Amino acid sequence: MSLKTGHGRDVAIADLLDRALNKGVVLWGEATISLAGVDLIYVGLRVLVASLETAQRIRGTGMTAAESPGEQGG
Amino acid sequence: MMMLYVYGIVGSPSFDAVVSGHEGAGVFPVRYGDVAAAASALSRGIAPEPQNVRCHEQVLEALMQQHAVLPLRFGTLVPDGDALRDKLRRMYSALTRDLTRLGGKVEFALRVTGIAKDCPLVPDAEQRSDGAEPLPPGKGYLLARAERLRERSAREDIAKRVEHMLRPHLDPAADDAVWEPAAQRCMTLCASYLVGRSGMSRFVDAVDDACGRYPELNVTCTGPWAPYSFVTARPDEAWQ
Repeated sequence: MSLKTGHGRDVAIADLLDRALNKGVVLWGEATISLAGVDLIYVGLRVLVASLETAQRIRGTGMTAAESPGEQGG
Repeated sequence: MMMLYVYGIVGSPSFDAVVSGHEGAGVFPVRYGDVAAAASALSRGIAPEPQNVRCHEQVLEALMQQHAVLPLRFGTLVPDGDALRDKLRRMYSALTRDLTRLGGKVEFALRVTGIAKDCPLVPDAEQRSDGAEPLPPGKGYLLARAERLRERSAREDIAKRVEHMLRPHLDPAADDAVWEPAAQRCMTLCASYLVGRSGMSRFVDAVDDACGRYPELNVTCTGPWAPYSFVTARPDEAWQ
């Protein structure tokens, strides 16, 4: 038997990250986060991450992320 | 340029000052109707690092001591209060529904491992070293693919069995549960349980009891967290 409860273990932060980054209320289709000085956005409701520049480029051409091969994560 | 970082939606038009937010910023309400968004004024985005995610959660936990709270996904930035109030107005019905349903409830995370010991990985047919004649490339590929599909199906069956073993012990101690499909090659079964604050001890006891019944399983339970996995409110557009 192995049962671990509480916040004080490594797995707790993994569980919290999994929830806070992937779940919860999405007010906009996009949410901006900043990583290593680069602003990233969640695109749509699927936690697809693209750079702001990429997103603006996609928007400017009227493409959806799915129609833009190679742009994910960019 | 200052923007608003939003932690969550509170089921009250106001709330007392709680813990500090990101970068020590104050957390204040941006009101619309009978709800308020809990926000901090920041000049830049926040990196998704563990200490920042913990800060996000700590603000939510402090608010949850006073009111019903819906956690926002980490990293939500809005230009200003007007834009935020406009979004609250558009989503007001859905938000108030979720606040009513989730008020006073928390989420526990469950991870179950050790569930596939009797289902070892099947080596790729293309990589077999049993001395047999090498298969033609196309046939080898198809056989390997078929074996991988069989392996995946077997693992999913085992995961389902484990879920069905555990749920009768856990579900009665919770208000709701979400089990995620176990399609990964590394077999970790993940679930989220919604539990009322007054029922937290009972739920942990139920997990403990289930572990005792199935000692071959390795169960990790963390929480209580804000009820991230149980919100249903969605924006009225996926792409603006």
